[in-house]
Amino acid sequence: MGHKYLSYTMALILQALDNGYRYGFEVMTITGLASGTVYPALRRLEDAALIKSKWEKQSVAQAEQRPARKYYEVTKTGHRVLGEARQRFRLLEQMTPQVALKPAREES
Amino acid sequence: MRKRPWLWLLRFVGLIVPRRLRADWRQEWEAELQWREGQLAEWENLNGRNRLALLWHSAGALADALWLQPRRWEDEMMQDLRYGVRMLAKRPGFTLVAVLSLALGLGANTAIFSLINTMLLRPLPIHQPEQLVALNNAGGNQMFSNFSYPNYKDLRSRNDVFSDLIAYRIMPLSLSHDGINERRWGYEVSGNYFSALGVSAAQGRLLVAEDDLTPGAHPVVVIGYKLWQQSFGSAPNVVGKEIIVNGRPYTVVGVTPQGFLGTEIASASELWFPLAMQSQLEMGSNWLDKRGSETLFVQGRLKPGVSSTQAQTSLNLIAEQLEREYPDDNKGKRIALSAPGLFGNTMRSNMLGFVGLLMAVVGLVLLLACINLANLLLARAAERRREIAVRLALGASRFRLVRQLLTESLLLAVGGGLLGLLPALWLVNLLKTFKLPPNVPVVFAIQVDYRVYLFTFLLSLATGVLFGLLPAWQATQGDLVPALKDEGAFSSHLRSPRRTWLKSSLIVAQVALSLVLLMGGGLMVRALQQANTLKLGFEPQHAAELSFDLRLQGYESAQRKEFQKRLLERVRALPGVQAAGLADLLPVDLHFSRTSVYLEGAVPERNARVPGAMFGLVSPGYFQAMGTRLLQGREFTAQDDEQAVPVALINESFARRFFPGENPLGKQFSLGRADAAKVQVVGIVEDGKYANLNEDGRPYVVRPMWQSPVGATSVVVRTAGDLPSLIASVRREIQQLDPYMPVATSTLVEKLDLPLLPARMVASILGGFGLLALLLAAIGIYGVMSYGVAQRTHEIGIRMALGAQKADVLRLVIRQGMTLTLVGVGIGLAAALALTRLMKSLLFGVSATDPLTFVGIAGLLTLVTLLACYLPARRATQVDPLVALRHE
Repeated sequence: MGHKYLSYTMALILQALDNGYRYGFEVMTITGLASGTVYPALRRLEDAALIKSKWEKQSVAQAEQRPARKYYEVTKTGHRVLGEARQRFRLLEQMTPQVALKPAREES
Repeated sequence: MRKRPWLWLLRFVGLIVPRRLRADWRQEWEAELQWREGQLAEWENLNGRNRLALLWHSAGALADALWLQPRRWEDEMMQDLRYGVRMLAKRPGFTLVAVLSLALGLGANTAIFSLINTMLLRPLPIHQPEQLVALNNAGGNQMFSNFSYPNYKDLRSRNDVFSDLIAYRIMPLSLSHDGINERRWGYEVSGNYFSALGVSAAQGRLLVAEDDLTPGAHPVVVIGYKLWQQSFGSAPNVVGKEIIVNGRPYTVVGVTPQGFLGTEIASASELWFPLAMQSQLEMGSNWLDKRGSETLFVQGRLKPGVSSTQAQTSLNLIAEQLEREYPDDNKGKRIALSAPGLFGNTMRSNMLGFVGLLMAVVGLVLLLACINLANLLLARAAERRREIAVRLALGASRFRLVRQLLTESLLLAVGGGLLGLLPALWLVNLLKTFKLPPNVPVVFAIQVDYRVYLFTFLLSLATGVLFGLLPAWQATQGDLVPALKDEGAFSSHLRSPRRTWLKSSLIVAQVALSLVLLMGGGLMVRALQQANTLKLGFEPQHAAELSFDLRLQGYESAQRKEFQKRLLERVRALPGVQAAGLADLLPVDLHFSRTSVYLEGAVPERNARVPGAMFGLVSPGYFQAMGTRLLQGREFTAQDDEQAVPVALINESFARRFFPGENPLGKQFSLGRADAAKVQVVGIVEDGKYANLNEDGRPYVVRPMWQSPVGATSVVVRTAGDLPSLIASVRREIQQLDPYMPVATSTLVEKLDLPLLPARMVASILGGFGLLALLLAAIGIYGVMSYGVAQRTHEIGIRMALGAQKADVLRLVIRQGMTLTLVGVGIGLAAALALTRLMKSLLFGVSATDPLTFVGIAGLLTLVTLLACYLPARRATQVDPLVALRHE
């Protein structure tokens, strides 16, 4: 695929995912964007192969008696595009943590 | 399970998510929301605010679901469109015929809709036109729209539902300026007219309340924009200019804005005067203070928040008050409100009737075009059955296929609609330049605006969907296997009775419809022919009329007689004049007079209908000039003046009605009032037409102009020589007597244009659209027959190989087509017999079931359809059997 142009909102969401907020709801709360913005953006990012989706472990969900949630991970292409976006939106660069964050839950 | 409104919302929204994504989508959302709910339950209580927050988040699911939609629809729609265009281009003949048919049908509808748009839908070009309503004076059993000035003033001061109430009157005027004399129409308006309408002047100022205070003291006028352009050359110095109207000077104070027509849609009035100047403008009649003189149209601007019904109720309370206070003039009068612009309510029913007829006619034409389309689509679908069968076999859903076919018919329809704009605009231009006879102050300012284009677009869509759906659906029915095996015309599936029945009945319907339309047109044409041989009661050839109005120029009674006598002398002295005479008005004109007849010794009962007769005032020599035969007695002479015995001339019908079996000469009666001075009959003239061309046997009585002077004058001159130069000479004589007198001229033959107008219009409409319908039907039959022949090439080849001659093949094909046509003609004749009686009032001299017309039209139709069948049949005979046998 050709070079992907990332809008600011998309870059923000990608950055949030990169920062470890893997679930749709968390991205919503941390970026402050509405669900009507976040979810279509996640679909678009997934279509462009910048992120990939996975279901959380069934055992975890079952323990809490709820359906398994879907979470997203940034792919290699996604990392590259995010890097380019950071060059454009300098504030994003400042939001990148210097130390890798520990994810909120244990995934696999 | 706890109550979870967001869960139900998700389920509901999930319905629009594409099936293959639905399960995952549901799970993702449910998981997220449930997790959030769990969090909230842990950290805070699940109070109302939190529940609401959850519901709000689930609303985001809708945006997500919608986002998942369009791409699929867009892709498939583009696919359908591209494929459709390709398919249509493959068969240019079919596409052309379909698009042309639709263009004609849709174009006609667009044109008529523009007329409706202008007359009924477009609001008046004033400020907030939706607040304006017209008041109608509904009294007793007749609906007049007019009010008297005192009643208007009372309504204005006593009501609380209108922010403003205006009154106006439209009347003919004579206008003189810069050496030109013109006859124009103008408004007399109340002082608040322009302020209530909310318009501002293009030049100078408009009339205000201060211009309408004292009767006779405000000689000011506002002129219309078009008049300013045409007659004053858009000169900026028109403000302050003095013009002469009806013999008196008025100062122009301003020009109305461009496009402003006043308060009547169809009126071509161009001057606005204050009502205070009423008695100056209408010499000899002063009705401003007469409560019984109902001359004004009244319109009002509703206060915001007040509905028409509320206003009407409130107004009727005032009407009751007025009835109590002035019982003589206001007895039984009530008020009804209606939409403004159509002369109160008087024009509405005529307009609706006329428009209804037009819509019915163009609707039929469109129906024909649509039937063509449906037929062609059916035929085409039969041709494509293999392609459809293959796609169905490969797994396409029927819905998808139907959508594909529907897209094609929509393409045809929208294409037809766009192409149809050309004939539509042409037709609208034609209507705009429709020449109405002079003296009729009506203008058809037909506008084509966004509403018209929107209508065309929607109609095209509806057409495409409605008439494409059935063929599309039918195409995907039936057995796949025979189609895949391509068994051709022998397939029983094609011969299925339902399918052929549908196609046949469509053709029959087409033929029947066009027959009905043509029949109407044919009858009208016959009626117009007959009009030339009607017994008019006068001889229209070689005679002309010049008319002017002495009232408008300010002549008093004695002066009028003087003018007329001198003019008559001079005209009679002109070379080439065979006969000349004067009358106050001519028969079958825009106006007519009636009067009541009181026979000697007859005592009129109260409330009984008094017999009446058509009335006129004529000079000596009038009947000679008109070419009316004198049957008994004598015409008026110069001796029949005010000092002599009052006399009258009557016609045959009058004699038959009032003096049956007796000699009418010398009989006496009173006219107008029971106690009026008696008049004596001195002569009888032949019968004629007086009010319209469709009447018969109306009683008619005339009295001498010298015994009862009148202002409106028509000079009738007859010549054996050159009529136009005679007209010019008489005009010169009139101008020599009064250089400022506007004179209208026409030959008597031209004058017959007015009463023939409705007939001519209906004839053109029915005839024109009838021919259009015939064309469409012929195209349709040709198209279907061609297709049928193409389908049956194989079969025809076999027949010819087995020994059939060209004539046999011809007979085979034509017989099929003509059977349907003849059935259609039969049905059409029956329908026409039933429907033409609706037109009776317009058919003078022709019966509604005139055999000549019926036979003629049926014959024409049969001939045209025969041709439409013959051409494809001929092509069938040119099939080479060898080629046909190998053809699929």
